[in-house]
Amino acid sequence: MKNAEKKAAAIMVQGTASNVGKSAIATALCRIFSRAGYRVAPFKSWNMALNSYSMPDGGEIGRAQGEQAEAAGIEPTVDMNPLLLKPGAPGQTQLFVRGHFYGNVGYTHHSQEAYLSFCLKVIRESFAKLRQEYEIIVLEGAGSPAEINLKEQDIANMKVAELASAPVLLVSDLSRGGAWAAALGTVMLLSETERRRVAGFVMNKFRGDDTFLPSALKVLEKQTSLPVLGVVPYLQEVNLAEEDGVFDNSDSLYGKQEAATTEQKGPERFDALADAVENALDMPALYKLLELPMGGRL
Amino acid sequence: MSALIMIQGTSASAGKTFLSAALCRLLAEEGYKVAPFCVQSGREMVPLPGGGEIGWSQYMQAEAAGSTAVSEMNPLLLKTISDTAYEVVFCGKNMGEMTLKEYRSFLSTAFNEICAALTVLRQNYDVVVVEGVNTPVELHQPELDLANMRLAAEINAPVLLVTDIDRGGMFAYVVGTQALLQQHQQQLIKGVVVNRFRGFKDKLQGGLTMLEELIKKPIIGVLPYLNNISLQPPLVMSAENQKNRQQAYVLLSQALRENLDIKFILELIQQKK
Repeated sequence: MKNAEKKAAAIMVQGTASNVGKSAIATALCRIFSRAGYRVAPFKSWNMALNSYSMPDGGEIGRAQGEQAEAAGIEPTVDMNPLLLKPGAPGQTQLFVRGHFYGNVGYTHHSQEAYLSFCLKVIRESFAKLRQEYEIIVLEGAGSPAEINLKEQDIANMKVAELASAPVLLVSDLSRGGAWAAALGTVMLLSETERRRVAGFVMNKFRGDDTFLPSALKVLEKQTSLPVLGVVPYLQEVNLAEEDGVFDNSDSLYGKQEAATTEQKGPERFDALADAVENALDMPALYKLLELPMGGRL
Repeated sequence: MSALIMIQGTSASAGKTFLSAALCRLLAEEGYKVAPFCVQSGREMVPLPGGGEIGWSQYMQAEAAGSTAVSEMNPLLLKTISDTAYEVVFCGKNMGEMTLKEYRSFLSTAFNEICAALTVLRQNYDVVVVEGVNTPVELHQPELDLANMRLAAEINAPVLLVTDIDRGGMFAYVVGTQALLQQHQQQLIKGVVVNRFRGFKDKLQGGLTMLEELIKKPIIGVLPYLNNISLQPPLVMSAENQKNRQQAYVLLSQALRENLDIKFILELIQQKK
């Protein structure tokens, strides 16, 4: 019966740290696949953020998923970010389930089995629902999948890739240094099963001189036996917000997102970003991962 | 010749300047005559009383140590013109504008003079706190190696690796940095300092123990996120902001004493003497 069900293909964007550009890459992918004629939806299982995207019916999801839905040319739904946490009093967070306040969560909850299995159930249901309605789901992780002290309670990265059977693009940020180390180190800290989910790296926010870039890529590819699927240039004007930057004081949080939205309305406002990412990534390889034709449905 | 300790980072802005300044202060409190050193500065410059300039970071670190800033603490000043061009001042001499390519070939001839500047400091101080640049494993920027592991290997400096836990991925940054170094470079790293931690320490401890096993190096300590201490260059130099910085140095040294294994660091320095 399984084959008779129409199920979307899935691809997941994870990062080596917060603020490496996961959201921007996922937004670009939503626009790229949508332009190719596919029905695309974003998905982020778990989000920790101060700000949210309010929907007409009053539900709240992460800002990036709201934006990604726009890029995909669809209406956002609460299933696109089924778990949203907002920091409250120290050690306390407000849990929103499918857009609506569910209860307060203390930090000890995050490691409790009942809490985790409840969350995973919510994630599984929301993802399954989207999967019935769309052709491609672009998933986004949170933070890094290699927080070895929090691995059991990480319901935003590899556990989600697993339940979605999604190949993972690992984004690393060249603009802040340590990007090669972070890419290699992340893969080193994954379990064998998790490592097999990683399809390749996206080296993001590159600027400067590229003389030694090819040899650097070769070192990473050789050490990890994984391909670099693209080097994305530093895009000042389309540097969108990361959602999991609750504690981030850097200038990149929301200022630049506002700048990116400008006057333009509609999914076209993501075209510059989508063009840059499409040019930088090995798109045939990505379509191969999705097992979909590159020409799309147009 | 003085003792040495070098601070390298797992990313830019991991806290190298901050930790070096704190160490300068702490070692001065321990009775050492301390000088900071960093091969290059690309940030705001401060004019020196005897003429010439020095990068803000080393100026501030010298101030933290109670030492007078001298040009040897910062032999190479880079004023960024674009992503691939600099105006270069080397040991007080203006070398004019260089493309990155020209700069790379210039660097290959400059190493001896850079080491000579460091030697001048080593002859006049008890300890030199050497700060690296960016990370020691910027594979696409080999010109940075000179300011990190090439220098560390030349002077056989014990290296502390500082890493920023606040942005996530800290374990991967540390493990990956070590893995990209050659074995003789790995041996220079004596320990790791975790910087900008906020949260519950009991949740972190298990991860730190795992990390120590993975890299076979000790974690020297976990510094909290100290957002009340700013060491940014002031818009205008004044007695008032200098007074504020003096208070900051006291807090910095105190933070090290409260959170790092200071005995371990002092032993590293004494071994080197």
